[in-house]
Amino acid sequence: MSAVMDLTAFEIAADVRGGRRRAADVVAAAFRRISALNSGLNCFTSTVRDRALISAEDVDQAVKDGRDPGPLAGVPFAVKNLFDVQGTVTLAGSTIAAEQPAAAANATLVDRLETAGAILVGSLNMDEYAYGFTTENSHYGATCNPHDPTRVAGGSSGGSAAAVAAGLTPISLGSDTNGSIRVPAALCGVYGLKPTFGRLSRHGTVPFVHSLDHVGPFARSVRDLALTYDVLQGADPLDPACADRPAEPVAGLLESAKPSVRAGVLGGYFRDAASPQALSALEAVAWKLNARPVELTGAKAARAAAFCLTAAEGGSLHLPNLRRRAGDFDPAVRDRLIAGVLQPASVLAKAQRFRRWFLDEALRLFEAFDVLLAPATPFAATPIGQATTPLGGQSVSVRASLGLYTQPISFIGLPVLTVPLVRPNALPMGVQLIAAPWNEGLLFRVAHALEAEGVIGAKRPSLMPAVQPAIASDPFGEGARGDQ
Amino acid sequence: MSEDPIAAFVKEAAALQGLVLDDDSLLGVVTNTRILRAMAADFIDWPLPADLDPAALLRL
Repeated sequence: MSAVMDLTAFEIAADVRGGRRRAADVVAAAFRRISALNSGLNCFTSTVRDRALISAEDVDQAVKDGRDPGPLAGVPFAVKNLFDVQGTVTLAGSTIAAEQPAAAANATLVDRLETAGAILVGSLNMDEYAYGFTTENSHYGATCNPHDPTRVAGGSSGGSAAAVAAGLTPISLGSDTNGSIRVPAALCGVYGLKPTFGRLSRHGTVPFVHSLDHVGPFARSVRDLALTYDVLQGADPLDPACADRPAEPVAGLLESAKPSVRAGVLGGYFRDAASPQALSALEAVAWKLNARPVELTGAKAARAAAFCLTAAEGGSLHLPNLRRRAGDFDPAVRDRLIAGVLQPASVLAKAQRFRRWFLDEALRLFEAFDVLLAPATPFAATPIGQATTPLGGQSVSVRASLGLYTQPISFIGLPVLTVPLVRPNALPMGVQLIAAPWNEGLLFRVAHALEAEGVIGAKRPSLMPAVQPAIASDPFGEGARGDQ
Repeated sequence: MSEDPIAAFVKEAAALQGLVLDDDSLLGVVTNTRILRAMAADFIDWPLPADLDPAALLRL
């Protein structure tokens, strides 16, 4: 196994910038690891080896010439396959999109990472059109959880979380409409940031629900997440939802004194259905932050309203294809989208008005609290193919229930940093650190302090008996499938 | 199925939208319509101020 791929992005960039390690060697190590492990995990749907090697040469030449190669020099990254990558077809998890021409340009965030010296190695599996929480894609297969490949990685950015957890790349990008960064980050035991709505540009990504879509990074350490987030920030007139705000860098805040925060742990709806494991994870963070219990009124209704809006907006977006070629959709996605577009308009108008009210309720809490805590998911990763799970005394849908605690928060655009709990000999669980709009910096400071105290941290998977038999015979990553 | 009011609604509404549903899809859409209606019941009667304006929703 390539030791370089066990380094953090920060360490790789420091080595490359300092001339102690070549970006070309880092990229070669990344492709070796992808080749070794991807067949057992199914994180990547395509790789871009030639492009990566050229980018690595550029970075190495910059170092040689004494030019600044960027803060993420030589760091391999990959993106959920709804991000445009110039010269590659943007799949968005569908076979319908696979018929489209290759993207003519990169998504804004791909450009920003490459400008910072990071090196794109490929695109990652997801639920079809981002409508799911498990990444069990009927067209491209399920992405496996690196901590137990018989279990789901979470979704819809399952490839993005699993790739980082397994060390295929130190960082990745995903999107989050109702929890699609936070759920897989929690189930795969890595960090995931869903920033404030409008903070990061979505230009060059395939939309799912315009009024709810966010994009953000994954990483295995708070510092790596901060470095990545910092280069992603900045206004973008090409995304009408992207706020015209200057970047507010967070990496430089990490070494400041441990913040004294007024923390609240959300009760009621956010505890009622949670498994003992989810509550235990939550309590570990709450205890460390001296969090006081607090209620967010209307959370259940907020989740329901987000659920209805999602189906309606998503269904509306795909209505032309639902009319012409419904049989080409994943059947489960198709039926949810169609049901969405058949909803009465009065439901959707009420959902939007309720959304405004619920945002005001949440903002009121931030007069008394700086950070709110909630479980990321109600339970840990379930076996692939398992449709239901016991929860709160009844059998519930796994796909729908994984977003119970994330949907009310993204509904109102609040920034959330999902952190992985240190849980020896147990499947990963995550906790949401939630702040007032535009206050990502505080979340990073709190997460960094918790990480330094050993409460949270990305656990390295014991890679991985169930994966090993598939490794030797699989050529993926050596150019055999989707490699350009 | 044809006597089920939800199924009848789905068939008629889908046809008006230009959507063609086979039997499997009809079953799936009916199931999801029931779920959405149950969800909507959680907020449709939520008392809101009469002058609440959602227009500024995304001005965070």
